[in-house]
Amino acid sequence: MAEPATRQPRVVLLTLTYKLSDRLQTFISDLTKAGVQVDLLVTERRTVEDVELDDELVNVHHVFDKSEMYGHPLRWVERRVLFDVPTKVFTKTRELTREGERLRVLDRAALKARRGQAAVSQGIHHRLFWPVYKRARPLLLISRAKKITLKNIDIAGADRIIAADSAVVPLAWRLAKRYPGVHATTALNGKPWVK
Amino acid sequence: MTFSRPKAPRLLYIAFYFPPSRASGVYRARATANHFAAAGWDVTVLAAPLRFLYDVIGSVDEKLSETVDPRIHVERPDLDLTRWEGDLHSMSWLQGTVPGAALKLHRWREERYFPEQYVSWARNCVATALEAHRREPFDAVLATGNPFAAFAAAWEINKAAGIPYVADYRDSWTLDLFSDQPAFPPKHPAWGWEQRIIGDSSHTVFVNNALRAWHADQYPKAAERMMVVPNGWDPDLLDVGPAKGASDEERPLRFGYLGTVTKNQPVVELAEAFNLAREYPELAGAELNIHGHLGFFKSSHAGFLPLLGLDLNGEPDPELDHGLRLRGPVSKTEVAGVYEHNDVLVFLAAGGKYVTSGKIFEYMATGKPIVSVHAPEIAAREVLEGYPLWFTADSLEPGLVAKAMVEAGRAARALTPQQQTEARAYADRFQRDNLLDPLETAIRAMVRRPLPAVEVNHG
Repeated sequence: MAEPATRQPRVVLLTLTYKLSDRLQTFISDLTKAGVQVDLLVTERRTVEDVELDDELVNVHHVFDKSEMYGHPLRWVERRVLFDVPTKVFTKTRELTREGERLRVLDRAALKARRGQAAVSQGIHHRLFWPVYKRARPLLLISRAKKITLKNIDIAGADRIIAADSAVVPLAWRLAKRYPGVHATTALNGKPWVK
Repeated sequence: MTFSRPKAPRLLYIAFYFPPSRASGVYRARATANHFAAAGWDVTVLAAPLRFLYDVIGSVDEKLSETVDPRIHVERPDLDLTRWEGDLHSMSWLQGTVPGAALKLHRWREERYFPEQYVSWARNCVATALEAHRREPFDAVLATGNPFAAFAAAWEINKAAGIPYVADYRDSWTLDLFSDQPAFPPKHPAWGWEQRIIGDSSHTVFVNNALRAWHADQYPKAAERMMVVPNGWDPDLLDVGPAKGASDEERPLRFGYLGTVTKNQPVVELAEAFNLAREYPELAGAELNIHGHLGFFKSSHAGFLPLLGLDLNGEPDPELDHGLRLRGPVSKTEVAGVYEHNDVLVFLAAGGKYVTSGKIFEYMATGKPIVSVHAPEIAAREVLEGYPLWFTADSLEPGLVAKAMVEAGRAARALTPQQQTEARAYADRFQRDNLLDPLETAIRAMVRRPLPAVEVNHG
């Protein structure tokens, strides 16, 4: 009689940073070396672009297919209003004003206005938008990330849910409430699989 | 008419790190409690809750608990683990929804009372102590820090019940030992608390004279109540075996370092000096075994490895090899074997004039040559200076350290059992029990009632 096959342990690892830290990369590598399957949820595709992961054991899921910058409506609007549209407007304007001696004054004014606009846009982005967005981001990303995790990852059958950073805690906490039978933690601890 | 015999003096010992913790400070706490129990005291220890030791820091040695005198009563007041909470199921709605804000709120609430994360434990210590004091009064309170919230608890107990207390500075609080500068800005609440705690204590204890002098300078009114109790070593935890002198095996010399290597230590100078020392015929093929962790975290290895001439797997890199070998961490039960294995012990230490490493006392207890790699003005000098097999360059210049290593190597080759016995005899004065006697006497003198005659009984 054949012996029953032992089930491979599986961990749902959640992170919402833009880059995987060395510590997290080492942790994933320790898990896969111990034969643990990892469902890794990251912010965007490029988060793991330059990271070597075990293709057989690590299944990567992205909250945003391309980038968060154009993937989230709030960031998309901000990007368009503060940077893309003004850039287009000024580029077109200067295409017209750059030619001809009589338009030189207008061109200089347009250039000055462009510089001023760029400085104001940067100021609004860094001092106003980003500090607020950064704080609200974990909550803003919950519904989207939850959809991905619930649709593509078998959480009920996982051995552990791990929130790897504070930004992903609100999502992980909600998953923990939904799946009370799955051990859910913020500790990057591979025990008992990693010795 | 009958006279009842005076009861044993009762000591309340507030020591957060107590077995089964295996934090570095636990050995002093263990020895202190055992010493007082052996001297006839009825000792109650208030220690960290087990959940903190097992689940939060995961640093325990259950065998160490077996070395605690069974007459000692240990209580473990609760500690609010909110800031360490890793179990998502146990988090509140606030923690699970806005973890950053929840943590800030928690910190603000705690720091309003005392500027340290263990304040909830200290408050529970006060409640536990006062309840126990009502049942049967304590004669004295001894608190050891860190955490320094233990001192605040002793001070509160004194205010509430009038029990005299002693603060044992196992570690420095307001002085940064690595920069020799104050650890807090001038108006930080730690200063006010320290002034209150030292000002109202019956005695304040430090691990070396340099620290005592710094604090005496800060708080001159309390200077005459300050005393020094060095760390020492524990014969019941370190069996050094018979003095055999030099090894009769024909092999290159083995230098050994035991402990965690951190970025604050002069690691580059150590590697460079050992590389230079290996050019001398006496040290040809010698190796320097590092028994311990590299850095405090697993990921901190990578930065250290090239400095030690090792590749990313921790193996000697043929192009950079300085003779350093990574042997990994050692459990307390294997320590004697490490000392036996190595011919010369390397005292690698960070910091300057206020630092005495606890490790140096164990090193001396082996009776083997010790070579120093640290800033020349380190406080550990005051204990090393009388040790007959101490070799120091009085500098961190690699060429000079290399020469000290070569001299230590020569001494190891020529070591006789007689020399080793003499060196051990010097170390015997630093046996923990010997060092704790003055503290026990001082605290006994604080007791305000007649006491039974002293009868030392080591369980």
